[in-house]
Amino acid sequence: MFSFLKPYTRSIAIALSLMIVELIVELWHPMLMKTVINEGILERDLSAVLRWGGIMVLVALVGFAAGIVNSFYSAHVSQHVGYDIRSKLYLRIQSFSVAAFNRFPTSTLITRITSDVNQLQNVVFMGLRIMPRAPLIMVGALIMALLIDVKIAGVLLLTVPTCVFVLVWMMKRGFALFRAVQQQLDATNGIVRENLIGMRLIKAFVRYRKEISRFADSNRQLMDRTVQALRLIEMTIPMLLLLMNLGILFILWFGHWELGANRVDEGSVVAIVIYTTRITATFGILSHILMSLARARASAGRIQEVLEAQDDGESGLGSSGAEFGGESAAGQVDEVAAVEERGSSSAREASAASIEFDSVTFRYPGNAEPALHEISFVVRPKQTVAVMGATGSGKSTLFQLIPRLFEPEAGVIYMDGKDIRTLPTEELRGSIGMVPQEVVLFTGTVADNIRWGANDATDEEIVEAAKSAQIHETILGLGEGYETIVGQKGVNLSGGQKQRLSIARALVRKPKLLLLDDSTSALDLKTEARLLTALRQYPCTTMIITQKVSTAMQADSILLLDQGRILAQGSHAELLETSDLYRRIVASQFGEKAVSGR
Amino acid sequence: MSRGEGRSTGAGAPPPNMPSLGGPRFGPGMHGRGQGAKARDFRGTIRKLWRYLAAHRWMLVLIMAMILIHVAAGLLGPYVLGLALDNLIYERGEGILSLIVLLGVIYLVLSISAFLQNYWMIGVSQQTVYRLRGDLFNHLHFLPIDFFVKRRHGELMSRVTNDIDNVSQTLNSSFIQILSSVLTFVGMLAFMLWLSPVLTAVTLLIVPLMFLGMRWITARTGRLFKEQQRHLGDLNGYVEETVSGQRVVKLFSQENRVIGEFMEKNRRLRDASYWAMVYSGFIPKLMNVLNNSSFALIAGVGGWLALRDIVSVGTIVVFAEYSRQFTRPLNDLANQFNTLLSAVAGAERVFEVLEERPETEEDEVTATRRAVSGGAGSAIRPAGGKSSAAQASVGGEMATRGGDGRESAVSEVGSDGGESAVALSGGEQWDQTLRDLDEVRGEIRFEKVRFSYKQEAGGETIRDIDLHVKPGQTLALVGPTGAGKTTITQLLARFYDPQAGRILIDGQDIRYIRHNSLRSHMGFVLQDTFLFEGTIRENIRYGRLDASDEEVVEAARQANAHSFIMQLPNQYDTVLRQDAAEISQGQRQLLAIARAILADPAILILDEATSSIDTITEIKIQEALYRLMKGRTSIVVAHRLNTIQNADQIVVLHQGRILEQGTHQSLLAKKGYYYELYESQFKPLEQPI
Repeated sequence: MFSFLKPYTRSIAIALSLMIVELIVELWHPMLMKTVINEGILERDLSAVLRWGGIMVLVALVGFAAGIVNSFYSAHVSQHVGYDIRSKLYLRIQSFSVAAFNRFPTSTLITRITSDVNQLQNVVFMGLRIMPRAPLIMVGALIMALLIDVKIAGVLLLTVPTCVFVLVWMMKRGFALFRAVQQQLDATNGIVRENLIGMRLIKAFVRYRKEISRFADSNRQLMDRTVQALRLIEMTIPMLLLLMNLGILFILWFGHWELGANRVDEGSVVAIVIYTTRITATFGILSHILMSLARARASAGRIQEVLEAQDDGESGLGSSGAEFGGESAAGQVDEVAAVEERGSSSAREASAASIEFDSVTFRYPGNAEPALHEISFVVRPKQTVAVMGATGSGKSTLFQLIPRLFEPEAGVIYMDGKDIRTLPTEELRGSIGMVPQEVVLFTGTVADNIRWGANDATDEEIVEAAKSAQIHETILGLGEGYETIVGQKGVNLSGGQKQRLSIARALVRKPKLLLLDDSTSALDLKTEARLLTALRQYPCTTMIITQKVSTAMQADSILLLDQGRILAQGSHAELLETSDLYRRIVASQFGEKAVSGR
Repeated sequence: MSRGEGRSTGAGAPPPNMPSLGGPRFGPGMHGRGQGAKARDFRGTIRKLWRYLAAHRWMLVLIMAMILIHVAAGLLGPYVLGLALDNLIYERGEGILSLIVLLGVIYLVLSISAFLQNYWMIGVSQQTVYRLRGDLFNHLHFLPIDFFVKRRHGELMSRVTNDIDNVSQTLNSSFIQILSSVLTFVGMLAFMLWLSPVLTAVTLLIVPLMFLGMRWITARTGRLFKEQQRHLGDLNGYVEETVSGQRVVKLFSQENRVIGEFMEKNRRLRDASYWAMVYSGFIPKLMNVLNNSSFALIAGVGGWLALRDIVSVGTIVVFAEYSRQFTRPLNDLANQFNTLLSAVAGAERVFEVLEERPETEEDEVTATRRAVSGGAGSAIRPAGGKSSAAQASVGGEMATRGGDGRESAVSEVGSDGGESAVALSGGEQWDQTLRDLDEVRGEIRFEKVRFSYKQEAGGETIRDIDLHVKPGQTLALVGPTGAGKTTITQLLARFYDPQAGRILIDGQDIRYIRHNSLRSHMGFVLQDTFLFEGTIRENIRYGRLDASDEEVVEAARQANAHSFIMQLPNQYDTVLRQDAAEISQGQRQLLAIARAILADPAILILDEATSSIDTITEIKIQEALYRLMKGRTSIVVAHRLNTIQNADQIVVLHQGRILEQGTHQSLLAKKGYYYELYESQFKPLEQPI
């Protein structure tokens, strides 16, 4: 992680030296105080008092100036480091293949890129300003005290290390305890979340007593653990304080003996006592620092996990992302913009592609059983093929192989006769319009979301796509038509509306191949029928995953998948003849009559 | 240790200012507490919070006494230290021993009082938070379903988690800090005046400087932090969207576009944060320079005074020490005040939920709430085996229909709740007309029922609905989305009450039947099957809590779920997680059916899933449903027509009205809407492709 600091070595060096200037001021003050007492007050010399007092003010101002300048450099370094880490993480995440991506839950990726980076950024800031100060003050004050009089200050050699040791022990123990608190808090919040989501069910089954007692148990444990963790700390800190204060008592007592024997002067004892109080004051800060460091270490670990994740999936973007570092941000963005221009204009003239699977086998990483087993089929241009099968039979997996979200383990997929691995990813994906099962919309206007499919689409093209997707009327009914904001921060659309919007997004690409992954599930029958009719006017090849026989019947051909294999393929009529499973499916949806009646 | 959950937009609170002289204070989440909005009713909220704290009022008095002692010892310490130093300098340590002993005692008291005040305060604050959290959770269960529909889970979640957490941390530390800051400041001022008015004036010189400096800085940081927060929220939202939508980004080859936009947002955040960080970095530096120059001033002026024998060297040292500590209480106060404000705002949001009106039956809620907040949590936690056993059996009985001796259990719950309410409110809230439903035959009647989700007139969801279902019959509801199908089932379960007309079960108006009694006679298989985190066995047993393992397995068999359960790695003990990926949507439905079979209700409400379920599981579900529906009055919300052809009655709804009504055959013969709907689904079958 330290490599992120490298581009800023100069700024870091300046910030650290300014910090040391401040530190020297801090440590010098008690020495100056000693001079004021010894040379001024005890010698009854007013000019000396004023001279040394003036020097003290001057020194304080120098320290202040150093501190202010330090703020600029520290903020510069930490903000840039945070920016760089965020950029690199984001580039890395975008370059992930879907397989690598799936290893990290989405929510953790988000926290890594936001709060974890923030954590590091703050530690860098503090690291350049305050963090090294506490240990340095501690060591510096200790050395100064020992230099003044090693015998009197000797007791500090015993108390200071003991306190540091106890503090570190407490932090370690405290962290374990707070982790337990956090776990319990997560568990308690988990129950709340479950209850909020399942409230209807709980009410329906009249189970609130059970839930309340379940929550109460968890809540009580949370209280017990929190109390335990907090009390450990409240117990330790006063103990440390007491130990350091006992040191002061000893210094006073021993100092008075030494003073009596004329082996030391008054100012020295006073200075040693002042140094000791400074050391005591740093313990509070030290505990802060240890805590921040421990957190930062955890954050750094989580970030590193992403940056160093093994992934050989995606070509193209990943490599340029990996090169990215420090100051080159602006250049990167320009490059990005350039690529964008190229990308958008590729596949806009409408045509239809052919697709061929040649004994394709695919296995999800870490799974023993292949998800797809020697799949072979051919889809001719302009054909519509329906894919049916039970959950887990491999329908969606099959779709994801075509735009190379995953790579097959064996076998070849051809598009227009070309092995898709030989096509540039961007060109391949540019010719595919896919509507995934789970609808994702982005914050922005309706038009923006549709234009996501083709960056250079004209307004007419957008309206046309929306009309085909049967969403045009709905859009006009929204507050501001195509300019209505949707997505997380926008208006809520129903499931069916979102599905149709994401279909429009795929259609505006004028794809050669349209892949609909169960994208009509939330539509009522009439709308779906209209949609399918409209789709026929697109001169593209269409593959559609569906559960509805009525949809499948309209396809040229049906692929029936079962446990990763093709169980049957053919038209509706053919399958009724040949496939027992298909007959059962038809019967379940239309009644026995429909099957036997033919 | 990132706390809380949900959107992490609050993660970028101002960078922590390391207190350069801060006391030893730490705990999780010390920094970065979000700057919550200010409370609207500060006093009111504090008063409500006091109701929770009042139970510990004697403890709080003790804590305050400890704070007083601690502050006094803290002030005396440096003074006696000064005396000791004077003694060393002027009397060469004659009789210093007694001073050392005195100082030792002071140091001991200092540590002990610090320990005790915190030890006790943690107990008080955590118990308070425990009760607050419990009350909030319990209250949620008595709120009408409407409440949850109107709000997003995330927002409610943040009230139960973040807001309460905020209150917890503030009670843990701010209470003591604020009090001791004020006391320290006042005490120190008095003490310094007594020691030397002149040096006090010198020390006070820095206060206006500090005040001006802080104002200059915070005037800038406030604006800058707001700016930073805006950019941070923007960036976080963008990351969240594009990371969760990574597949779509890839499919449409939009990586470069999102990276470009991200870089732009990232850059804007960096530039905004830079200045916020710089200015906030000034604060400790300013404090430092003021402390240091005041230290120097005291040395100079003090030295000059010492020469004239107006003050002693010891006094100078004491003042030097005080000058370093003088700004701390002020600084702490400023910091703590912000946390306090945001915690009070959080508490206000919590109380808002607590004050939300529960479902129309008052008696149960008041009783439970009283028990919960009164007995320090004893009511929430079933004390002893007896009550928890009773609870379990009661829960079980309530879900069960008919049977001998069971009705008594059900009414027991009711009267129990009623009695406590009587005890609480002198009987005025005890609604005599509320009844429990004992045995149910399952006759359902809707009479001129009207209902609208919104309060205002017009746009009613359902209008003038008349229905009659005989015991054991199946009624199917058909119609386009928004026709009011689901609404009818919600009214039957009293998730909502109709605005006009009435609903009768076995001839009794359900408005006069307790929610829980009513619902315990109904079984639900809802659209989105909700499964709890826990084993499959526990999830099925949710239907009847006292069911034996054999009964659970039997129910699973009946529901066609047994075979897939046995294929799971741990069979019935397989633990399901949230968004359980282990089992499919269809299998979830099978589990829901098993649950309903176990509950054995008289009335069954079935909301067909709209989401597609694979065809093979669908066949299994239908089989299981036929078994479940046998002998029960069933209301089926149908999205596909094939499931309901055997229903005794089919009701076609359109825009909240009944359009057609009859059996499958009679509706087809009528050639109306149903016929058309049927045709559109089945027509393609009759024409060759």
